[in-house]
Amino acid sequence: MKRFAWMILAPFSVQLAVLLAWYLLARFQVFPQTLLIPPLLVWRTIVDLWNSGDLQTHMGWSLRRVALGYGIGAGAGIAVGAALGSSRRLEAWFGPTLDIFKQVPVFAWAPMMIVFFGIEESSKLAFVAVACFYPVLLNTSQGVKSVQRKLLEVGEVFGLSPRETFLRIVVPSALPAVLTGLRQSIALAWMAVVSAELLGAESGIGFFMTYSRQLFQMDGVLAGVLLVGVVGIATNALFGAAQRWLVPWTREVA
Amino acid sequence: MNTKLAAVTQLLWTATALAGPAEIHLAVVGNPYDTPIATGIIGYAQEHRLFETEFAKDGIAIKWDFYKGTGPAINEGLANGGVDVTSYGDLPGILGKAGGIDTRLIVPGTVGQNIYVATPPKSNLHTLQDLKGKRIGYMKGTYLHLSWVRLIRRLGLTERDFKVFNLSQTEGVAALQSGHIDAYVGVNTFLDLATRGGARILYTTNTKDAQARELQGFSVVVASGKFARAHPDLLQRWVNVYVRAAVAVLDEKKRDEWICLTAKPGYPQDNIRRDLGENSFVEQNAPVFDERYLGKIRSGIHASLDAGLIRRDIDLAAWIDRSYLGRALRTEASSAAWAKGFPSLVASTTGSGGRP
Repeated sequence: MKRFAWMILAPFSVQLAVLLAWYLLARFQVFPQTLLIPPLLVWRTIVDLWNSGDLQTHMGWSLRRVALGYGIGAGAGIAVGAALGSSRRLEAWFGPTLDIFKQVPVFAWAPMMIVFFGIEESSKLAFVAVACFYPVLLNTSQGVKSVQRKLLEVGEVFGLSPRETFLRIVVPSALPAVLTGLRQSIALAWMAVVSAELLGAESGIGFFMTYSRQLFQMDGVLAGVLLVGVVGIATNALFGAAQRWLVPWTREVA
Repeated sequence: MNTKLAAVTQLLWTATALAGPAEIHLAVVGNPYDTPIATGIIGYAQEHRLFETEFAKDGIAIKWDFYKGTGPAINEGLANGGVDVTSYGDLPGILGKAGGIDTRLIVPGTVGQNIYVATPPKSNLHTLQDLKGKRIGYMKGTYLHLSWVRLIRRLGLTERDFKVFNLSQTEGVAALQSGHIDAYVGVNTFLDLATRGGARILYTTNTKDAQARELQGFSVVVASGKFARAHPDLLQRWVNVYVRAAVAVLDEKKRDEWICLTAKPGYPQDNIRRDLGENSFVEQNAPVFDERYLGKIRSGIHASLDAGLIRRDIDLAAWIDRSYLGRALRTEASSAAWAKGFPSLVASTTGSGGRP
């Protein structure tokens, strides 16, 4: 019980300390108050944004882009990762090329995305999808490759069909790694959507932050930072819970 | 204890102020060519090292900082104490002041900054009304933004009536040519591009129409309040040099020199010449707080409030500090005709309202 309470309280105490430090830095104007807005004013901005409906609009667009981009990127990552993990020949063919592309930071893809997909929705979705693709691919491929040989042999002894072998042996063995990849990707999806919206957008939380910065409304920038952080924590917790529910036999690896 | 600490702090502060700074940080709006070259009157002073010469005797260097992020980035520099004096666009100046940055408007900058609304050459959009609901690009937070907002307000529209993309001029031209946007609100680069068939100018303030010209942007020369309080003497000398440069270059006989100076960062000279048209560059750039300039700044603040770009009004009388320019004009520009302002222009360009 004591340990449980500690686990709950410890992160909150650090968050409270950060909040207090923020308040004090603003209160004593260690940084100019025009740049570091006090927490209470930022909270008021969030409330105003909520009341005007702007928060829901911008957050709604960002969530939509994350959901679609993540779906495309992670889906492709699982498919390609499973194929590479299960076939040495495919891995020999495509692995080195994918390794080269993997080295390119996702932000370096931005100009190409705009050239190929324009500046509207498609390029943003592509940007998020590329960001999500590699962690899922690598973890899935690793997960499939790490299926123990002896388990497959047991399957053969029991006369399992390829479909049964896949569903009963490969999927449960690879699932923890796949979920780890999915969890890593959702965090990257958030980073990517904010970056994509910084480039050329008319909506979304990243756009709102850039726009606020250009209008020198730093309360809007800080409100955006807080909102992205809160949504990030929420999605991470959601994925953590999903991981514990789907693969209760493993400890968290992410 | 607190009193002692405050006294020591005050002493140190006074000592630092008395000792004078090692550098004066002069922020300049960057250009698309990334050349560290200023334009206009400050550009003339840079070319002839007038600021450097003035302050060399005190061992004070001039630190020229070119902000690629233009006005919005300069505001951040002002807020964090990295800028002492700057000349930038109307909207960033208004945004900074309304956002709580301690600035003083010490010299009026240029007026007559044109906007060009360009479309792809084969676009079927021909009027501003046609643009409603279309994809429009411009760089937010700049004078172009304010002029655009004022323009569409006349049509009964707001930014929400368009799909707005925040793009720099370079990105905007690329997006326009690749068909990713329907129109871009930019600077005189489009004159050249339109001549070569790369764009079509749908609307511009570069016209004789007084209504359109009223939307031309302007700039402000501001000093940080901290610098003005700590070194009023240095600021006065800085303004003196500015006015000296204005006297030297603002002469209609030097029109060609002015065009070369404006084009120096890398802009095509022909664009600058056509952008200026038959207008008097002396009238556009004379550092005089006349009713024409004050009318423009009042309507700029009003339009910014109206469009929600700023959330609180600006006390113009408190923002403008005429004292530095007043003294500089008396000592440096007594013989310049423009120092008396341009009363003939006032009636057609100012609205109601008195002096701030």
